[in-house]
Amino acid sequence: MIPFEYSMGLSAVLFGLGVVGVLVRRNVIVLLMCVELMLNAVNLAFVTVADHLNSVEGLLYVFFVMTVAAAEAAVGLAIVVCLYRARRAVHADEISLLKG
Amino acid sequence: MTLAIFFVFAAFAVLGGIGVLLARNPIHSALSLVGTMVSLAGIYLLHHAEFIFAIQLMVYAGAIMTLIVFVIMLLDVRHEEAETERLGFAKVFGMVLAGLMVVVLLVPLAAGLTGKPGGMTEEVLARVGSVEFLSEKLFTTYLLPFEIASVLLLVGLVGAVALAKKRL
Repeated sequence: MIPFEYSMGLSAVLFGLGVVGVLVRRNVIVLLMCVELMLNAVNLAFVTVADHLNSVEGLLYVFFVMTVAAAEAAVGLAIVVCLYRARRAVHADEISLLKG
Repeated sequence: MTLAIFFVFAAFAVLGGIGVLLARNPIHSALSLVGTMVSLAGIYLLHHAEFIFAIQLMVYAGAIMTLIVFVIMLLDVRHEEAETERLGFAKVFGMVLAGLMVVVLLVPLAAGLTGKPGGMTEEVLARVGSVEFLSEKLFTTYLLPFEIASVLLLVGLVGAVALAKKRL
């Protein structure tokens, strides 16, 4: 039996790493990967609490988070492909069309 | 023993996360992320979540990461690697804020966990198993969210094709 705090701590650390990645990196694909990392951290928190409370609902939430993550990755990467085709850029700083 | 295995997986997960941050080449970031996801799958197994373990490996480490690696290779982003690595004020400030956020996330843990225990007790697990119990819930109580999720996937599929295709 793993202490509840350890898993939650790991989840918080992974979420923090994802946040730092989104703030620091500028490659759009890496940004998407960092978002996936944050979603994984949240999934870990759900699984931990579900195990701790003997609850099946937490696991079901993970299932739905994964569904949303799959749809998000597909649409996000399609947008990246679009951007690359239109502007030859996968660099977040170069994509400033709406800046005026 | 379980705890030792947990620490090994946790170390690999954190190292993978750091690798995603630091790797210059997006392919290396993606492979680090696969490492993190596989380690997390192991931790899910330690938490008695067999079904989540399986779909973590298949959906995340398998399907989503394959898609990401495929797009990285398709775009040939090698010339993008002159990523500005100097640490500006904004980046340092962002890192400090993210560190603070981790602390804030950890603070409620000290108070312990409040919540109603659910029905997945040892006795139920021994009788029907966690996958069967989970699927029973999914296809009865949570049938509507399940159907909505399938519609969401369909929308994502159509949206991705519509966005990425040159000419419809």
